[in-house]
Amino acid sequence: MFFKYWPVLLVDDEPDVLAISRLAMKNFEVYGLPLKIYTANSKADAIWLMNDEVEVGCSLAVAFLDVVMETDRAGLELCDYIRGNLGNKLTQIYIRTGQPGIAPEREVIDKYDINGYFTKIEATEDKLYSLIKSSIRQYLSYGMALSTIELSNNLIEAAGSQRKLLYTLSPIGGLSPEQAETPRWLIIDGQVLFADEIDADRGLQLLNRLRTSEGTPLNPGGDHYILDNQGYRLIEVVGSATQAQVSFLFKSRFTPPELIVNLMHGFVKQLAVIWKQSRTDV
Amino acid sequence: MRILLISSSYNGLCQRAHVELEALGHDISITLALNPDDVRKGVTFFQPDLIICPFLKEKIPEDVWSKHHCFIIHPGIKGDRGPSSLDWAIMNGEKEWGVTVVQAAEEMDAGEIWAAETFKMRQGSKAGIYRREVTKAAVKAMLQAVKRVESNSFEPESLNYSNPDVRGVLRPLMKQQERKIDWEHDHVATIIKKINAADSAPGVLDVIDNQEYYLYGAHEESQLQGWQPGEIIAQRNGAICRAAIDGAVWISHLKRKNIVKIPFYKRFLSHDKQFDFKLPAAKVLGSSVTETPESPIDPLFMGNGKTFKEIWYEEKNHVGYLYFNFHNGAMCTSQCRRLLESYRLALARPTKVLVLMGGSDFWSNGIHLNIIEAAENPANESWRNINAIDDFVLEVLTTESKLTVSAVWGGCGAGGAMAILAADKVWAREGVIFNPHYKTMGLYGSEYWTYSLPKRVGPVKALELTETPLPIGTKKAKAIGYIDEILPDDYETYLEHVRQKAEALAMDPQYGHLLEEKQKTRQKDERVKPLAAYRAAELQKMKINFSGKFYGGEVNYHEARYNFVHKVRPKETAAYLAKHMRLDAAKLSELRQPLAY
Repeated sequence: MFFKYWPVLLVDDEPDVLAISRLAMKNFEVYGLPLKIYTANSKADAIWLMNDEVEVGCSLAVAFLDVVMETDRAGLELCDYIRGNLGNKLTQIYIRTGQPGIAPEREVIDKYDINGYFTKIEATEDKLYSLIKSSIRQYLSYGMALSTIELSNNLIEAAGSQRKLLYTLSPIGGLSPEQAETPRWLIIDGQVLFADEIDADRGLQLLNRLRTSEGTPLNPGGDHYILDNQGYRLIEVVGSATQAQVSFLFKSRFTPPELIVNLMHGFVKQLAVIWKQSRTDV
Repeated sequence: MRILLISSSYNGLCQRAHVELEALGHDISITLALNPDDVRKGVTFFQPDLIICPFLKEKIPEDVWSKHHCFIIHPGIKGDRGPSSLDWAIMNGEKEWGVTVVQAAEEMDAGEIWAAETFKMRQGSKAGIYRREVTKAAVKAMLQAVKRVESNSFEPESLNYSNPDVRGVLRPLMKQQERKIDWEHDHVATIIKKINAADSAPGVLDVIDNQEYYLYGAHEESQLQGWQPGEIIAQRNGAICRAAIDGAVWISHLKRKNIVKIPFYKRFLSHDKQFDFKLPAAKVLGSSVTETPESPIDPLFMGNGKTFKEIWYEEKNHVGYLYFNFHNGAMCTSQCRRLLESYRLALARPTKVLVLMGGSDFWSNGIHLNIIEAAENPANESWRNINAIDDFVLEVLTTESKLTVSAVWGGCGAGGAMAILAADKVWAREGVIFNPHYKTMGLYGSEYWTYSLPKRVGPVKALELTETPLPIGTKKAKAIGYIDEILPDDYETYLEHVRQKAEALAMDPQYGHLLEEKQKTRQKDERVKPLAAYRAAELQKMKINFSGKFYGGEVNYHEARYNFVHKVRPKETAAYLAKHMRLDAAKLSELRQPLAY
């Protein structure tokens, strides 16, 4: 949700293929954000990059892997490395081969956990465009869904203790170095979590400003989603006897699709209920 | 008894006192001496029978010490007073030094004496002597004083300077003027003594290229020489070698002076990085040492000459001993890679047992937070560092050709406390304190801990150890299976025991069988769940700690690291230490505070 760009990795031992692909993708945008393209010319080079750059190691949106590089199956082994050794199930991996005879499509899609297969001849600019666009949509939805499930699990584990809940929530409410331009506030029953005095005041001011807009109802219970023209967004769950009033206020560089807003709402709602049932001093 | 520990920080001695007293069945709570009101609050809420101050730089409020039994552990012999005890002892070349337990009084360190211990001084840094000799003597004296309080019949000794037993005197705070190195006249031994007396704080202030720096980590050099005293003549693995009038001295770390400290968030959001914390000397000096020649050292150094060495190796009777003495136990990416290389070379030696000896003060404390803090992109450097340390741990875990032992003399925390478990056997000195948790640094942790820790202590204990960020002593560690053996608390005896036990292992008639069992177990474990899967899962979580994405990124690790590196004092005593405090759920700060290793 708080991306600046979409990290993409191209692995191919033909420098021309890398150069042409890079050129073709230069101006691609998905949800208004550009791509950040990393390239590697072999499996070993790609693995080195993955261990050197945390973004390539863990946060790749899309990877295009050639098959025949230092060995006949280097690209396929790299695919296994990403899925197995790095535990990365999220990156959308496409096999792009110049020698389909060595790695036939059916065999590859059956044996390897990839998202697609195409030959270099098929790789026109339009094809790349549609692949990038659809795969990043998929990456974002899948990533948000998995993250929401993980958060929900963590919330359930921490239920009963507001102290533990706070620890669980810290990735969401805190400010991270890369995301200073997309601040986030979690406000429970009027109290801003994690923010220092300056940030808390700013969060409350923004909250009051956004609340003046009507926004979109998220459910019949009165929960709302509000967005303003400066990129600030508010997901608000109303308080009641059984749930706390929780506001998730954040700035995003792009307008999240409805599915993602619903996922976030689900999480905020869950928090509202669990928070109410938890004690402060446990 | 109900004992309240009041300490300037939860340092090694305070942790040891905590562990030792709790093991005796005392009810312990801790308050950091952050301000007088905090101390009063701790006393009022906890209502202690006894107050002990293991490491205190501040003054205790009169209304506290006048109404309670309040002991100060002073790192000096009887009669010694003042804030620079050890500094003076090192500077004056004292042959014997000690620790005194005094009752708090109006005049600092001048109260009645409840117990005192002495020890032989050795050449070493102030921090090293504090962690080894002072800590050992302090614990002994403290336990004796507690016993004397319990006995209710002990008459403490008043401070009387006419008593021949009282050899100490009141000494002032040692100033930089007294520490200053005169490169034109000071011999190597004097330079080393001066740096040792100020290491790890405050460091000796010196000028290099017209810029003021504090110097740390002095090592004598027996071969290199230069013409101009003070001149930088070589560098090695981040340390610099400076010429002296009668030889040369290695200085491993520097800290720049005169940088204004700014709050975390401002620093966090600004791009202007100035390093006002301790770092390897060559890194601090940057481009000014690019021309300085690198003085290489054998990755499996076995020499006897005096020089700066972080990794060295000894071998005797089919046993190899690999030492890795990294400053403060922190292992940066390049150190981990060098250690891995040395480990592989040691594996190739014709031995049966390989003992991982660690360093003199610490076995390891995991990733190098100062280097990460100074990196262009701390998230990337964290990632590299954790991968590099994991590579080393993996090599130990998958060693099939020898039996491996972690011999833990110094303390270990975080990744280091998990890395020891990669070896087949873990032996530890009696007074070692383990901190097998990452939470105070806002990290999930790696080093294959999700494999090694539950395997040794079971899943329930594994969670308990990692979720509650408290230190454990060797008795508890052995009882839960975290370590295998406890060895004596005296360095020479400890080394002897390690040798005997390692040689016995190498000569064991069952050696072949043990090795075979080890291989079988590893293969079976690999079939159940490959090590790669453990690592992948740990690193996925670590990645979120380093730089999250979908729901944003974590701040805990970055803030905790900042506070640790910049020695930012916490605003309050962590809730897991201050039993007497109710948790304030609206504040998470107690979980964000790093432990002082």
